[in-house]
Amino acid sequence: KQALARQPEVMSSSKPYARLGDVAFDKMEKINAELLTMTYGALVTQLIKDYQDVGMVNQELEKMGYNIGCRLVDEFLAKSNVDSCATFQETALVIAKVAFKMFLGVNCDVTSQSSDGRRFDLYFKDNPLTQFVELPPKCADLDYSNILCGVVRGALQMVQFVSEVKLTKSELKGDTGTGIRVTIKEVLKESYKDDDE
Amino acid sequence: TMTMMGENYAKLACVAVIGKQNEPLLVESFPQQRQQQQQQQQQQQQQQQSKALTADGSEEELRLFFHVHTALDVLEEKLAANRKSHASNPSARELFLGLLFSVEDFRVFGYVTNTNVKFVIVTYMSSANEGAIKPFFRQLHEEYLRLLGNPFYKINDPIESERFLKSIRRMSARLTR
Repeated sequence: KQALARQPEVMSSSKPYARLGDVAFDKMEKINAELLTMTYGALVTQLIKDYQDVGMVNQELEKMGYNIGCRLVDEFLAKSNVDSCATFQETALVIAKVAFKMFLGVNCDVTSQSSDGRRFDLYFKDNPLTQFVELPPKCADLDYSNILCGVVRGALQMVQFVSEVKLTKSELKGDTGTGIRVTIKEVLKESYKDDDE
Repeated sequence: TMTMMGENYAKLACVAVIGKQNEPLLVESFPQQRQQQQQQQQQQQQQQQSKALTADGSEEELRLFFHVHTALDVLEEKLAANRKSHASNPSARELFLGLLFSVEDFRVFGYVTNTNVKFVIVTYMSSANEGAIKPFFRQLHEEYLRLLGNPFYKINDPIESERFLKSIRRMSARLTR
């Protein structure tokens, strides 16, 4: 699983992953995007009412996402037909091109990656969660789409990657799209418990 | 604060969004005298009040608010009349209420949504392009729907959305051409 030093051209070989993403997306059952947007909006505003603290809401969104990601990854691996990744570059591409496409229907790119592959940036436009949303001044520090960061972290955790995932760009804060930075901190060894535990 | 964009707002004098309890949610006016005083307006940006009573623009503004208020009564009458005539045929309810009344140099038009949110626009008599009024209301309705899509906007609160205001200004600039 050690990342090989690769040339930046590896990002142009995202086409096979993009195809996998499209195929998986087509197979998925769809729901109305507005319903998702409104449901998520209701969730976020309710959290704000309950916690009254933007920092706490950011954390709660991330935790919720983590829970989702832990469960989602099994469905993802089962339905997407991806092979296991040999490098972190492939991991990044799979998350961007296959997972984000399959579950959010967005075209996501890996916009940069460190040479050891452990840190990479994801970027996509037209985030369905943020459509029509405008942050009021008192919520200027709200990481509205933070649930997505949790999802990525949860999914990675289930495949033995301990990571830190942060929202770096948001359409609600003046950027043209959504940016997410993933940093893989630790690769856990598979541990097998004794049978009599 | 209402900032002038330096565009020709001559024809459209005022756009108002009114809630179902007849409370004003937004009254955005573009009085003609304002245009001549854009520089003074910019100097007076420091004042906190958006409806500051400064220069001559304010008198016209008050008149426009008054007309919007009058429009509400006419609107109610029209709605009541429509309800009677459509009692037997509810699906025929038309959202665009047409010309409500004319007064001085102004013409006032009305539109009501299915949830009784009302839109009122006041135009200058000589330059009203009536064919463009109905589509204007449709667009305004669509903008209102987008506003409702914002989970942070509490329904029937006064409208403070920058995006909504920008859209209205863009739409009114288009109307004048």
